[in-house]
Amino acid sequence: MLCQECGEKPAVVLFTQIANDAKTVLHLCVECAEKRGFSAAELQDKAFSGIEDEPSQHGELVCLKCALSYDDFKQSGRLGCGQCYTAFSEQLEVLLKKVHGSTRHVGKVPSQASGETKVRRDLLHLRQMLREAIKKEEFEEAARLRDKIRLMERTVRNDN
Amino acid sequence: MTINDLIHNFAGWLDISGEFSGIVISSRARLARNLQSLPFVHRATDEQLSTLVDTVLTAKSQSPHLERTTFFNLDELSKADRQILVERHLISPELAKKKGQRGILVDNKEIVSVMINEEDHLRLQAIQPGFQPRNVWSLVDKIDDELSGVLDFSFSPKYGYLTACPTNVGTGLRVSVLIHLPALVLTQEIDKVLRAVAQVGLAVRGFYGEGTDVVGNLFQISNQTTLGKAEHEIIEGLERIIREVVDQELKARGTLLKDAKLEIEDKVWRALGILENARLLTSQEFMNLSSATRLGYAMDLIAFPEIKVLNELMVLTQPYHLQRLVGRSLRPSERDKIRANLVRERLRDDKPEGGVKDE
Repeated sequence: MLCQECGEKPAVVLFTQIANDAKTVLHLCVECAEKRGFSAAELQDKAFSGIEDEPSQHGELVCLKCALSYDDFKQSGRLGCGQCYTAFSEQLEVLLKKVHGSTRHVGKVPSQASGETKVRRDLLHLRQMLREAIKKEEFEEAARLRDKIRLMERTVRNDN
Repeated sequence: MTINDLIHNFAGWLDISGEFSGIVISSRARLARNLQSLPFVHRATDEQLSTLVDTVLTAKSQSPHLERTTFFNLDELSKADRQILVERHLISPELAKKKGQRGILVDNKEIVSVMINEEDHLRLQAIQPGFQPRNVWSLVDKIDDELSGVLDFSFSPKYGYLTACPTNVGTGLRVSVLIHLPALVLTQEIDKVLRAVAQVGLAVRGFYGEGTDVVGNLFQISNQTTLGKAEHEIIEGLERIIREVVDQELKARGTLLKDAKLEIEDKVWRALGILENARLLTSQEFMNLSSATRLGYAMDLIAFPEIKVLNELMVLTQPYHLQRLVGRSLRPSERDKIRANLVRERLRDDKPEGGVKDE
């Protein structure tokens, strides 16, 4: 999701403003959140508590994919999903530097998906569907899938 | 393969081959991997955990290294049987405690295994006897290649393989050795050596891994950082330091022989004498005596028992293994009796014809 203010950068902050009993929720990028008066450090610390009778504001860093907040992470030490690394990248880089002495990966990269890999993935998917069909006792579907798998396996073999 | 088969299995890493087998018991490598499509384990629903198990079980047929592995679903194992897997160093004590769809794939030599739904979706593991970090890395590297052909691993060009805990991000590689350092302990140089090891960025852990105690002078040393260094650099770094530690241990053994030969011989022969004759043995006492015996054999002070036998007993004399062997749960005092019997019998069987002569 993009920032609802500037519409350019990825939104990483869930911004909730409560004024006169009206609640506004905005997804903001770090820069736009900072323009509204939150420093990145404050965003981590969630050091905002509303004062009664006055408009109150809550700013919190949240991963938009899995809804884990940076506070949750600070408590558990575990991130929620791969996307969290992007959502909290600014804060994490400080941590990574401290833990690993580095913030950039050097080393192995997943093997590229070649044509053959794609076929193998498709086959895997079909086999999974077959297992499920058998589990659900849908034998006609299972037979159809089995034939399809056999055909694909034969194609792979002929290619080799 | 069943839990019962495992009990009677002689795990590949207990054998004695590989460099420095008188000092380094085993070498291990593990790779942390997660699937892109699912949240990390601690945020996943039961259904998602179960999907993951299914996906991996289907994917394993595409991996020659995993094709013939057996899957142990922790959800279907008793508490005691889970502990058997911990005692065999196949799963972490942490994983044994968790509920739900989790488990381990393991080959019949117990050399390669995959923990499913521990802290990360997958932990690819390989373990070999002696000092061979390169070989265990090469094994997990191959399994990783085979699986990445069929599974979409969570990866970022910037941060590498993404893991639940940022301490594992990057290569996701942890390579470790289980190393026996009795002479450094006896000469009281161990603290100095371990401090130096920690200073160059390696971690020292106990017998069952993270958060466990050191027993029988066995230390687990591994790399601490996973980001910013390529896999081969991590392995070369560990190799270099372990060679130094081995060197220090050999020097300390030399010092013992030079300055305190009689005392050390006395210690070794007494240890063997107790192992051969005791009627009650606690697990702690067994580990300590077997450490002295192991040292004696490695220093050519005694010609028996072979390291292989001590390794096997190290696994078999653990509480849950003993209970499985006799087929019922045991009180600690009963365990000590059965442990002592097992050790006596095994040593008697292994003793060369005509006994061992003191030279």
